[in-house]
Amino acid sequence: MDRRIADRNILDVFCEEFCAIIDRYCKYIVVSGFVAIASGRTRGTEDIDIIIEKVDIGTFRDLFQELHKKGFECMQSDKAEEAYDYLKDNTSIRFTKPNQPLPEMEVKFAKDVLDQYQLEQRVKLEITGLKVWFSDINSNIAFKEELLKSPKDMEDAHHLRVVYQELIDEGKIKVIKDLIRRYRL
Amino acid sequence: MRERESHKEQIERWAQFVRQNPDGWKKIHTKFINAIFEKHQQFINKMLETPLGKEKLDKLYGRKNKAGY
Repeated sequence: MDRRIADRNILDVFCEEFCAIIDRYCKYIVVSGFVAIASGRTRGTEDIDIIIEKVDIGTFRDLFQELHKKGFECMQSDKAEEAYDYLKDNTSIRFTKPNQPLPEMEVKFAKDVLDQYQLEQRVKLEITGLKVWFSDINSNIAFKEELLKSPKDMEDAHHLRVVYQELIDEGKIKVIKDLIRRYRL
Repeated sequence: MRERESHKEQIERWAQFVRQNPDGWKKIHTKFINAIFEKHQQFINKMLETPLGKEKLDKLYGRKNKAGY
């Protein structure tokens, strides 16, 4: 599918620019709402959630500096060491473009087997037309239906179930839901 | 309840449209998403023109790094 650049919206451009930088330093996945929005769901969002594998401070410093150089500002601090402390405490850090508080990229370290599983199962989704890694559809549906559960999340899950019906694996979704109950609830 | 059902049907109709029009949905969707952010940017610009606009925006978006905008 050849997607023209003119078809890329503000979120697409923001996400692709950010992920292209992250990709040079570590494995990552885009998760949650933007998976549904990039797959056609018509709703707004303020942030794009991304999980990255744990990296050491040296790698993170290089990554942080490159993000800064390419115009992504960290909302919490302009010091890599301080931002790294947030991530180590399993707290997200957020990046925006100068003078544009939205959209923002919300970054977290992978914190448990569930995040690790999603990083290993990551996929590119052709229909999105985006060159970024997403967590797989079954994981997204499981998280939305078992953990997040708001009306918006349930609608996202329903949208994903329709758009990707050939990728739906109920057995897999059940296994992930079991893991969510074990590790997150 | 009926409203929720009707909303669910709308979600399903649009999801089917995306599925059946892999080259057609994106243009409509892009206009919709961009409109949200363009509207928001107009709000930011207006706020920045007001006396306490920047402080309000920092508070609104929880910005701790004051070196930014």
